[in-house]
Amino acid sequence: MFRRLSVLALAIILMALWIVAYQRASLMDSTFLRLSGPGVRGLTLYLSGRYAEAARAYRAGLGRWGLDYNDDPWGADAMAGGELAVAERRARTTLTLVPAAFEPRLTLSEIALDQRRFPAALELVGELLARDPDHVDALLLSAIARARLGHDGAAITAINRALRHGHPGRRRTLVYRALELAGELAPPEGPARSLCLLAHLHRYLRIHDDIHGDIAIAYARRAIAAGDRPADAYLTLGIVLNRRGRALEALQAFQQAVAIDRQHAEAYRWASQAARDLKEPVLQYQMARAALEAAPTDRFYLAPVERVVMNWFGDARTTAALMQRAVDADPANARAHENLARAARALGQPDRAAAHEGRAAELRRARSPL
Amino acid sequence: MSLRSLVGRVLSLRVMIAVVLMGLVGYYMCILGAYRLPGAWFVLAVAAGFALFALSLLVVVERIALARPPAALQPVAAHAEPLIFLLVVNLLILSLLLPVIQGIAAVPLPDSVFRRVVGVAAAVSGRGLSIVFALAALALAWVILLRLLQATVGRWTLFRWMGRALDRLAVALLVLYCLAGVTLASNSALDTSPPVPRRAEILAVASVELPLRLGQFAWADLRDLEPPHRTERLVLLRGQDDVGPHRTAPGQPVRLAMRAGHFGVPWVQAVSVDHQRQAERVLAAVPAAAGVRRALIAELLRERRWREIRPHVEAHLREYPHDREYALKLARALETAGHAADATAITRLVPQ
Repeated sequence: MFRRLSVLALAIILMALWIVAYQRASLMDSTFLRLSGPGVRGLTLYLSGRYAEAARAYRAGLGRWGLDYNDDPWGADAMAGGELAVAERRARTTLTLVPAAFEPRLTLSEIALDQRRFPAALELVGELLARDPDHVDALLLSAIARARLGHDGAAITAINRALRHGHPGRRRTLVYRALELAGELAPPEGPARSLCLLAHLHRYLRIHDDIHGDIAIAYARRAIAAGDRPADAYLTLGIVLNRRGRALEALQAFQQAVAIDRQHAEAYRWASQAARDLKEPVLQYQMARAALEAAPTDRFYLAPVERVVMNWFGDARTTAALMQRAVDADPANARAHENLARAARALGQPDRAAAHEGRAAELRRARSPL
Repeated sequence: MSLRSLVGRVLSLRVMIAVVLMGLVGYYMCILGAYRLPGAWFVLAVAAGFALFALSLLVVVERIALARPPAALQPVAAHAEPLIFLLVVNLLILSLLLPVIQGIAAVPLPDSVFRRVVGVAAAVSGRGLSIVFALAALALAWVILLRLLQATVGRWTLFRWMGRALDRLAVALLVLYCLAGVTLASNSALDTSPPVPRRAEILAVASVELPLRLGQFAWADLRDLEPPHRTERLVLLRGQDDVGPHRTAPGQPVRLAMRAGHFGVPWVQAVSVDHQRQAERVLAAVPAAAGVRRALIAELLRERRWREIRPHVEAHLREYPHDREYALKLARALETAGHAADATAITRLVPQ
C-alpha cells in the first residue's frame, strides 16, 4: 500500500512544484524567458539572484541573426550581439547619410558603455537629450553612464524622467544593462551600495518581472532608513505600491516625499494619480496644481493641470495663474499660451485671451517645418 | 417501487449526492456575494462558504476513496494511483506545450475533430491549471490520509462510527448552507422592488488575499448619514462597487442601492461613490470650480431640486460675474418651474 501511496505523494509534489514554477514565471515577461542556450543559463543565474552574470548571459544570446546593413542600419542588433566593430561601422555609415539621426548615436553611446568609456557615452546621449530632453532610451542610457561614474543623484533623476512616460524604452539591451548594474551594485556575496539607485533600478526591472517590485520596496525602505535621497526613495516606494493597486499606502508615500522635498514635481504628480484612484478629487486637483507650481518650465506637468484643473474642475482663475507662471518661466511654451487664452476667455478677459492666442499661433508657425 | 425504497436508493448514491452538493455549494458561494445583506454576520457567512466548498470537496473525495467501485470500473480502480500520476504528468507536458498548441489553434484547421481537440487543449490556461492542481493536490493529500487512517485505526469500530458521524455532520452542514443559499438567492432574484439610495460614508475597508492570486475577499465598515447613524459591515464586490480595498480612503461619501427583498429581507445591490456630495466638498474647497458646479446644477435640475439651485448660481456669479447668459438661462428655468422669487433674485444679481 505504501508504494501506491508514494505514487500519489509524488503526484502531489509534481503539482506543487508546477504551481510554484507557474506562479513565479507568470510574473515575468519574455525578456527573462528566452529559448536558447545562453537564455537558459541566464534564467538559471537570474533566478539564483546573480543578476550581473545573468545579464551578461542574456546579452550573449542576443543579436545572433547575422543581419546585414539593410536590416540593421543603426548597428543596434550588431551591438546587442557583441559585434562592436560592425555596429560602429553601421552607425557611422548611417550618421554620414543622416547626420541628425538619433538611433546610430544611441548605438555609439552603447558601444562606449560596453568599452567602459562612460564620459564618452554620456557626451553622446547628452547631445541627444539637448535636442529631446524626454527621449526615454537616451535618458536610460545616460542613467547607466552616470551611475557607472558614481553620480547616483543624476542617474536617479534620469531614471525618474525616463519612467514618467510609462514605457521601458525600445532598445533590447536596456533591461540587461539595468540588470547588470543592479547586480554589480548589490553583489550576492557582498553588501549593497547606492540603495536609492538600486530601488530605482529594480523599479525599472519590475516592468519586466513583478518580483522586482518587492526588491524595489525593500531597497527604498533601506534607503529611507539610511537617509539616501529619501524623497526619491519614497517616490519609488509609492509608485510600486500604486502599481499594485495599493493607492492609499502609495499616497502616504508620495506625501512623505513632498514633505521632504517641497519641489518634487514627480511626487506631486504621482500623488495626484493616487488621489484619482482613491476618488479624492480635491486632493487630485491640489497635487496636479502643485506639480506644475514646482516645475513651471517642465511642459510634462501641463497635461495633468489641463485635465483636472482646467477641463474637469473648470477653475479658470487657477488655470490662468498657473499658465501665467508657466509662460513667464518659459515664454516659448505655445501650449501654456493657448491654455492661458482659454482661461482668460472664461474669466471675461477677451483682450488678454486674444493676445495669448496670437502668441501661441506665432510660436506654432515658427516651429512648423513648412 | 415504493417511495421509501426510492429514497433509500437515492441515498445509497453516496458519491453522486456529494458531487451534487459540491456543485450547489460552489454555485451558492459564487452568487451569494452578489445578493449580499448588510451585517458582519453575512461577511462571516460568505467566508464560511469558501470553507464549506473545501469541505464539500473533501466529502466527495472521501466517498470516492472509500466506495466500492462498480464492477465495470474495478480493473481500472486497481491501477488508480499510477493512472492519476500519469494524468498529472500528461497535464504537465500539456502545460509546457501550451504556447505551441495555442499557436496551432490560431491556424484554421480542416479537420473539425482535430480542431476541437486543439481548441480545448489551447483553452487550458496556466491559471486554470493552477486551480485544478491545487484542488487535486488537496484531494490526493486527503486520500493519502484516509488510506493511512483506514490501514491503522480504521479497524476500530469506534473510529469507523466516528468517521460515519463526521461524514453525516458535514453533509448536514452543506445541506443547511444550500438551503440558506436558496432562500437568500430567492429573496434577491425574485425581488421586483426599485433600488432606494441610502447615503453613507466609509469608515474602513479591509480584505483578505485569496490563494493563487485569485483576488481578494473584501468588506467595508459604513456609517449611515441618516439617523440613527448605524454602523454596518458589508461585503464588497469587485467590478460592481466603486469602492474597494487599498483604493478607498476613510470618509469617502457613498450611496448604497438598497432593495427591499422578496421576503422582506433588505439587500444591497451596489455601492457607488456619492458624486453629489463629493461635488459639494469640491466646491467648498474650490469655489471657482465652474465645471464641477455646472455639473452639480445640471443634476439638481434633472432631479427637480429647485430650492438648491439658487445658492449655486449666486456662488457662480460671485466667481464669474460676466457669465450672464448661463445665469439668465437658469433664472428662466426656475421661473418656468414656478420659482419666480429665486429667478428674480438671480436676475437682479446679473450685471447689466
